[in-house]
Amino acid sequence: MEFLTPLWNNVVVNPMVNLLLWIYASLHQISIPGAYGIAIILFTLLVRAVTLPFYAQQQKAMKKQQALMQSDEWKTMQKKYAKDREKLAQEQMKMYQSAGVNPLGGCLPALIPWPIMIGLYQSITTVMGAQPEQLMDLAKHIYQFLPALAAAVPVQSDFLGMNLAGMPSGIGYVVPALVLVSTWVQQRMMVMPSTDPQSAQMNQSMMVMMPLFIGYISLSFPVGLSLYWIVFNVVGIIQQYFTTGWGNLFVGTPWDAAANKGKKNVGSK
Amino acid sequence: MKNLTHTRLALTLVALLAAAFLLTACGGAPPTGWASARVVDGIVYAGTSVGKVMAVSATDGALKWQFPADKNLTSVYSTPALVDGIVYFGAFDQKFYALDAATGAKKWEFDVTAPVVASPVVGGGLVYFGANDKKVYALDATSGAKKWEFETQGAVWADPTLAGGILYAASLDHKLYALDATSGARKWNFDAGGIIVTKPAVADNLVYIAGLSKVFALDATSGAKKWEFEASNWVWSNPTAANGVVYFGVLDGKVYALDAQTGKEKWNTPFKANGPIRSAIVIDGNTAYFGADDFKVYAVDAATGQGKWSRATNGRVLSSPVVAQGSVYVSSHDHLLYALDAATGTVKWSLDVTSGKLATPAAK
Repeated sequence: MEFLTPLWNNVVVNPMVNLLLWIYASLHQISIPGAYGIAIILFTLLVRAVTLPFYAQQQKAMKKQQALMQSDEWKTMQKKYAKDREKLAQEQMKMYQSAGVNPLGGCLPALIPWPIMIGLYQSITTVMGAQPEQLMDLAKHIYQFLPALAAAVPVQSDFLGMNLAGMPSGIGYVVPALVLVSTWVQQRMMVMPSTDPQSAQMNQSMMVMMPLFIGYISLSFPVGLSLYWIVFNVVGIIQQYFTTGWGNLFVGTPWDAAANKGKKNVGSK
Repeated sequence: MKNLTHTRLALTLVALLAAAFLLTACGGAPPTGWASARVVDGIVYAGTSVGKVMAVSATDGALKWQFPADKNLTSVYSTPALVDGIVYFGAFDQKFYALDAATGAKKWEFDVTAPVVASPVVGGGLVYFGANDKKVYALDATSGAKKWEFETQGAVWADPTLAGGILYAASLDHKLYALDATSGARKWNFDAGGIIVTKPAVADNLVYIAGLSKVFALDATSGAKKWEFEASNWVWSNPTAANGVVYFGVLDGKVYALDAQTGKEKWNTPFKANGPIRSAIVIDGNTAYFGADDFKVYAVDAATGQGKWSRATNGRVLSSPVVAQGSVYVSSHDHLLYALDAATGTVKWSLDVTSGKLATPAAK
C-alpha cells in the first residue's frame, strides 16, 4: 500500500497545495490582510464548484425520494399495510422502481467527492505548516518550477484577530461553534421525514450527535481547518436550499408556515 | 421501509464517521520533536521524542534522571545547552526551563506563552533562544529574569549562534539578524529570500546560513554577502563549518561539502541518502555523521563524500548526532536513544525513552 502515498500526493495533494499557495501568494503580494483566510475560503469554494455535479445528483435523488414519501399513493399504502411492515417495504421498493428512483442513489454520489475533500483538508494543513515537521514536509509538495510559491512560505495565518494555524482560543472559539451550528442546519435541512417511530428517533439522535461530534473534534483542529469546514457547510446549505428549500429546518418552530410557503415558492421555480 | 431507512442512515453515519476519523488522523498528529543530545562529563543529556529531557550514562545508557518525571512537555525540539551545572532548554509547552544537571530538579522556568523550537545558547551570564511568538529572548542564566527581547516578523525556529559579542538569530521572516548580545540592538540583517530554519555557523569572520535552497556566506561584521550556493532542495540541516569546509544536507537526501571561502563543491558528487536530511552534518576527525528521514544514521568520509557505514533504526532520524569518545549518540523517532560505535556503526546500547529502560544493554 506504500505506493499509494506518492500516487495520492501527485494526483490530489500536490496540485491542491500549489493552487492554494498560489492563491495565497497572489493575495499576499497585493497586501490583502488575512490573505490565508481568504485563500482558504476561495479555495474551498473552487473545490466545492468542481464537486457540485455530484452533490446536485445526490440532492436530486433525495428530492425525488422526498416527493414520493409525501405522495398520496404512499400515504394510502402506509394505511393499507400499516400492520405488515415487510409488505410495505416491498411496495415501497416497487414504487421507487416505477418512479426510477434508486433508494441509495443519494448516498453514493455523496461519497465520490470525499477523496477530494480529504485532499483539500490535507492541503490546508500542509500549507499552514503549524508544526516544524509539517513545514518541512511542505518542501515535498511545492513545485520547484514555481519558486515564487516557496518564497511565500510561511503563510501569514492571522485572520480576523484569530491565528488560523493555532488551536481555538479567545475569539477563535466562535469558529468551532459555527462549525457545529452550520453542520446542524445542513443536516436538519437534508434529513427526510419519517413516519416510522424508530427511524424518526434515529434521525433525531443523528441530528444531535453528529453536529456535537463534528463541533467537538473541530476544537482539536487548527482554526483554519474549521474555517474550511464552515465554508463547506454554508455552500452545502445554499445548494440544499435551492434543491429542496428549507427542508425540515423549521419544522416544529413558529417559522414553520413561512418556511413552507418559501419551500413552495422554491419548488415552483 | 424501515430497513431501507436504516440502511441509508447507517451508510450516512458510517461515511461521516469515516470522514471524521480520516480528518482527525490526517491532521491531528502531535509534534514529535527532534532535539539532539549533549555529552558532558560522561553524561548524555538528550531531548527525547516523548517530550522529556533525560540524563543517561554515556557508557551504559543507565538512566540518571528524566524531566518531567510524571508527564511530558508536548514535545522537545530544543537541544539542551549545559553550562555551569545547569541544563537549559525550551519546549513546545510554551516554557523555557533551567534544570540542575546533577539531579534534573527545576531551578527556574520562564513562561514564553508560545512554543519554543529553537535550541538555546549560553554566554556572558545570559541564555538566548527564539520562540514561535516571533521573538528572540535573552534571560539571566542564573535567575531566568528577562534582560531583553528582540521582535522579528516570523517565528524563530533556528538555533541562535553567539560569536564575538554578536548573537546571530534567524527567523521564518526570511531574515538573519545580527544583534548586540548585551543589549539586543540590531547591528545588521540579511534577507535570504526564504525561510531560515538553520543555525548560523560562524568561522573565520564569515557567517554561513541557509534560506530555502540557498546557502550564503556573509561577512560576520557587516552582513555583506561573500558567496551563495544553490542546492537541489530546501536546506533544513544546520550548516557545519569545519577544516575550511561547509557541510550541510538537503531535503532530497543530498549532502554537500563546499569550500568555506569560495562556495565551490569539494566532493565530486554530493552524497545521497534515501530520505530528507534535517540533521546537521557532524564532523569528527575525518568522518561526517548524520541522520536521515530514511530511518538511517550515516557515516561518510568527510574528505571525499564516500559512505563508510549506515545503521538502520525503526524511525525517522531528524535529530543531529553527537560524537564523544568513540561513540555516536543519536535519537530516532522509534523512541530509542542509540549509542553507536563511531568506527563501525554497531549498536553499543539503546535506551527506550518511553520506559527509561535499556532496549539493547551495553556489553559487559
